[in-house]
Amino acid sequence: MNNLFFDATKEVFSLMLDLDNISYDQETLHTMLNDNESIGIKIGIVGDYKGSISYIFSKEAMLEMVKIMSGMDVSEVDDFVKSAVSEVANIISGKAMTSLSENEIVCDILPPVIYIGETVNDGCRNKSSCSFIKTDIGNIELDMELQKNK
Amino acid sequence: MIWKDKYKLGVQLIDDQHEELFQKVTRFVEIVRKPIPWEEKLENIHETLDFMKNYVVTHFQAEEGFQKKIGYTGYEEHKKIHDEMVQFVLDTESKFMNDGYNEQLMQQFAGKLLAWLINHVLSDDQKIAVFAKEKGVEDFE
Repeated sequence: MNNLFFDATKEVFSLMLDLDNISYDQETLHTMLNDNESIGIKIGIVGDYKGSISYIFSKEAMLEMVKIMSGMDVSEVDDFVKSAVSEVANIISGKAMTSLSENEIVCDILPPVIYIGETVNDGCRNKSSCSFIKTDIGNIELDMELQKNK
Repeated sequence: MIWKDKYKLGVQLIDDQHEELFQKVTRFVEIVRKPIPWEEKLENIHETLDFMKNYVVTHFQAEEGFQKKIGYTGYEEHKKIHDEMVQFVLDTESKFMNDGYNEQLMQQFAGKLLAWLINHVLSDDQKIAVFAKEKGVEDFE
């Protein structure tokens, strides 16, 4: 399952941001986000599996993503930036759901919820469900909490 | 400027409209993000929001017309995506007017629109171009 969201992230980052140097590090947990400037975007999942996928973006990654998409100089993680990045997380999740459906697993995603502050750092402590993605524009953590729906 | 050559699909009719749409969205985003007091740009916001909204509808209709003409098999699904986006734009506009022209709402709308449009053109619209080329379809005026 982790690979599903990693693959979807790779696809979207390549397509929308022309970023192809993306690597996956299952071993590194929560080393990145001890600052107050990271943002978490949580997307609920319903259907054959239930739970959520959370994307935690560094400030650097968020600003670069929006600079690439808009062609504009962006220096602050404001509502515009958060919303654009949130939509990218939504797109990634949608693609992951499409991949699941190709394996006859039917799931749907709920609207993204943005969270900030201390709760961001709690998400990935010592959890095997977390993965760490390195990109040329900064790092992302994925925190996946999914279980099969009975 | 948001438009990039990589967004071209190789179907002239759609590419021309996409470039126009991206110009309108760029203009809208630039105004929303202009570092001047909100009240000073509100009139401009109304104008560009209206302009952009109307062009979104016009473009979607034209694109759907093209899809029907070429017998695009993904037409229904694509139209559903368009209809949902149009509804989102209309709902946002309505909320903007009813909630006293809230700046945060427009900033959020602009951000979502930017990312949505780029992905839609690169993913969903690309499929139309692939279909059209496979069928050897000529451009429509």
